[in-house]
Amino acid sequence: MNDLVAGFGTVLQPMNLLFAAIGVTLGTLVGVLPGIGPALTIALLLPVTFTFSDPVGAFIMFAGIYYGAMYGGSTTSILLNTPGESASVATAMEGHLMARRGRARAALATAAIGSFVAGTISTVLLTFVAEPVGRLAATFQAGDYFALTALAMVSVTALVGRSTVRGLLSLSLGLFVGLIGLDAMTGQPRFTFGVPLLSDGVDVTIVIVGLFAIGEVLFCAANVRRGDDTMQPLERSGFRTGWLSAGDWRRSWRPWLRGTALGFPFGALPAGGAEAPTFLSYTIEKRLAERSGGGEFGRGAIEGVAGPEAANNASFSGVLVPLLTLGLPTSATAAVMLAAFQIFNVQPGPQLFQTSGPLVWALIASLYLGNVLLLVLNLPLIQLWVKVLLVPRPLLYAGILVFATVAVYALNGSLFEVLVAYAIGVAGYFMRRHDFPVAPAVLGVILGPMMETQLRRALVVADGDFLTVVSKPSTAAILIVAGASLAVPYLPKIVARLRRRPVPAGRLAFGDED
Amino acid sequence: MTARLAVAVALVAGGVFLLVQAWGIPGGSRPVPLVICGAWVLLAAAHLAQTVREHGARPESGAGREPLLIVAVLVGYAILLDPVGYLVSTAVAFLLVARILGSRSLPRDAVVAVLLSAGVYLAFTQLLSIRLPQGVLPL
Amino acid sequence: MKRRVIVAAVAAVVATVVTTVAAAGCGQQSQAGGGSFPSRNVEIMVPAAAGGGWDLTARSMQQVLKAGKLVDRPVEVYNVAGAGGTVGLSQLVNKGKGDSHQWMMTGLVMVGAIEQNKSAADLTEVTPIATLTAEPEVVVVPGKSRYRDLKTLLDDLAANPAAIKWGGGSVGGTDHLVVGLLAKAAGVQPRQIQYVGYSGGGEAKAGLLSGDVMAGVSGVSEFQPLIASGELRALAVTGPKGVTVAGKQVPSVKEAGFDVELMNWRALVAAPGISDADTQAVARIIDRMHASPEWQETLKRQGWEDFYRSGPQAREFIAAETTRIKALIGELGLA
Repeated sequence: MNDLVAGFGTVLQPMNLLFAAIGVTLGTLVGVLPGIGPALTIALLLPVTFTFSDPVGAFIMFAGIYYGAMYGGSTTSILLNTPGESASVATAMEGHLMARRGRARAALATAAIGSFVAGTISTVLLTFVAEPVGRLAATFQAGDYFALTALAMVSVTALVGRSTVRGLLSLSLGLFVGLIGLDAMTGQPRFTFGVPLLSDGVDVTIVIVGLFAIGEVLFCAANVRRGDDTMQPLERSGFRTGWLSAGDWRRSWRPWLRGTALGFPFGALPAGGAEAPTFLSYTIEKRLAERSGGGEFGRGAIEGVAGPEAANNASFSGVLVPLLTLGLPTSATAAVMLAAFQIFNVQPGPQLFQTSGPLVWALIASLYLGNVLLLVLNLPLIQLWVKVLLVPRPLLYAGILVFATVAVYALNGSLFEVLVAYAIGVAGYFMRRHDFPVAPAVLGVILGPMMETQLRRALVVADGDFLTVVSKPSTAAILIVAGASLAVPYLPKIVARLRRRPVPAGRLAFGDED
Repeated sequence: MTARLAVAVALVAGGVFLLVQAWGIPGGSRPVPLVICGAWVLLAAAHLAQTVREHGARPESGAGREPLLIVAVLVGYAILLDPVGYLVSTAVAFLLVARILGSRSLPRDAVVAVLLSAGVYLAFTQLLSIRLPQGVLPL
Repeated sequence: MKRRVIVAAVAAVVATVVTTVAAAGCGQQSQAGGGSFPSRNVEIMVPAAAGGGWDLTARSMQQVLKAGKLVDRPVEVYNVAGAGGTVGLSQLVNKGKGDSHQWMMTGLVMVGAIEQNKSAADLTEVTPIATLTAEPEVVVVPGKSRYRDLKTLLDDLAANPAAIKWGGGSVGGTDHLVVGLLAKAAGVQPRQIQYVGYSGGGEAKAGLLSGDVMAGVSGVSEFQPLIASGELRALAVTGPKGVTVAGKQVPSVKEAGFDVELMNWRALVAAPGISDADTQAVARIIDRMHASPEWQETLKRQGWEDFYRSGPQAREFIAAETTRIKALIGELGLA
């Protein structure tokens, strides 16, 4: 505790406060731009920090960038339905519907406050239980990860929309795109059609920018002249605290906590990631809303923004657990931060708290500070961001295309990838036009490769015996949870049907009833 | 044939093509692609059956040619980005897209186009040190 | 409106960063002037994404060249990622031909990738300038493993190649090559090894700690913290001599009785087809950079081992490595 207080002492020095502010601002900006994630920003700023005499300032800035970027991604997702990275996709779904109904301020506010709540709670967890959580997370084996991705895959049931068949087709499109490139296990090219540029596969960012930003603009373009492009004016603000009405607060706080509870542990797992918890959080909130009679899902439910955004931000502190306690970087940004640590001669790992204690506590203190700054910066900014909706449509859409293009180009400086993103954008246009949901495709691209790789790793380890893989207690337990969560929403329907008359199983799975 | 039916048929055809491709992948890399492409074909077939059954039941709205024009602009933009340079090609692409989408205020659009492309160019090259094509402008 | 906000905020941040950097950098002054070779900006291509080892090397070079005023013109660094660096390589070969201002980072990883991706362009086509750094690889087992030395591990491998599950970086990368060489030295067909390729060092470490794999191979710096804490035990390093890792003496594979040596080296090359005079002008600049105190300081700070060979020596070294790795990739069943 004394260490933490000393950490705050370091962070609250004016120079370090300035670095935290720069980091959060820069992070929010790059988060708002599609595709430019925190990893790239930190990587590019790293050489600049070589000239810093004291590493503390650099790390405080990097932590600010990460938090800022995690939150900033929600802004464009909500206002324009153009998530810039995979962890914001779940936020976009209900968030943009809210914006269309004139509730943009509430959506942005629940995202900002939810990020703050989740960030602060998970930083507290990081402060006190990093060590045991890190130990536990390190025991997860390939088979367990396979089971976890299977569990996350269940989210597809919440994402399919009106037609199960079209939803699952969208999922298989995503799964297919995930296959493109060299097979991670054998180095064998798959679906590269002899194009070397495809051998690294199609980056998830390209898929998201294509399906959402470009696809959305093309779709709106088809309707813009007919005036079908409905966007209701911003609602008048009545009595509000931080842009949220009393009802919004009441509906938001539980999803914030549940999102945090999902995000932190997933982030702490060495191969967990930030996407799976956001989709799981969305699924849980949707199911809970359905159970308590309807809910607003499909029309802009605040729960569907609050939960995923909290999960997204909580996963960052989670990611720091294996990074600090074991030196395991579990995301691209964490890998870059690890490189930064090593440059300043700080070795993350079991002995970090002994060898570099003051620095680590300063970093942790800066996380608390970063969260506060984020809230202070972003709540007033909401008023400014919503003005984006007042930009004339033609200019707004043209601007989105410009940003989407530069984002993809900046990834690898490859015009080929820009063309791939456009092609995916055309696919996204057709999917919207013919009522295919796009979110399952994103889920497929993210989870498909993880699921395959982990399963095949587990099989190598188990000498090719599938039963050995799934009979490990922890793996089996997660798979049973996954199976149950797949079946439970359908149970009442199945029971009802069985009572009346026997129904062929295929009819239920491929029906249009949902 | 309606657009919806055409999409359904294309999905089946695409799935079969990919399934054949998947069959040609050697060794341990093959099973998962086979499962995924196989599922695609089955789902696409179910979707086709559904589309045929519902044929004419759901009204289909026609689309304008704006999306096609925008895609044409984008492809041209991507091809010219390198030789012409970021600033010029971006400003022109922005203007064209805005015009396709119905903007009729050329002076305003031109100012926005120039400021936007210059702003993005400066932010990326100076702040993030990401290289963007210079092209014809001597910078 | 959004644009105005962004521009204003960007401007604010630029101003702050620039002031900071300027304040921090004004202590360093120039010494040597550049030669007559550069007639325009020098461009160093990093054939991988930002943030990796090549990227860091190139950006450090950029800083040292600038700080020492070794090149009269600005030095730019840009990234062309893809297919283990072969996308960048073919771009250099096709578009850069004859241009002495086009440089590229390369290394052992690219040699393997050329073979694996059946790349049309080859590393022997470009103009080698100098090898810069090298890092030995280390063979580790979990701390509670029963293997205490390399010989026992490889004896078990020889007895039953499928019994040992290896973990390391991506398939066909440096780590995988090391395992292939170890298998050969133990009398096992490289094809028979059970190798799990992980993306990124974090995953491989997690695989070792969770018990998915029994032995791991990666760069020394990657595993060092976990070796220091006793979570992992180092059995051997692949350099010419044993080294001290985290206070413990670790023998080289050669000292452990197996004839295997492989260093993960990084080098600088220039575009193909440039004149001898230009090649020498570039080489002189890199020679001066290598001799500068700033570069030595960079090596020390990054923990990079100096592995400097320039001119014909660099050419011979890269050619020899290409021959050796090509054959090995084939034996691993990857070509």
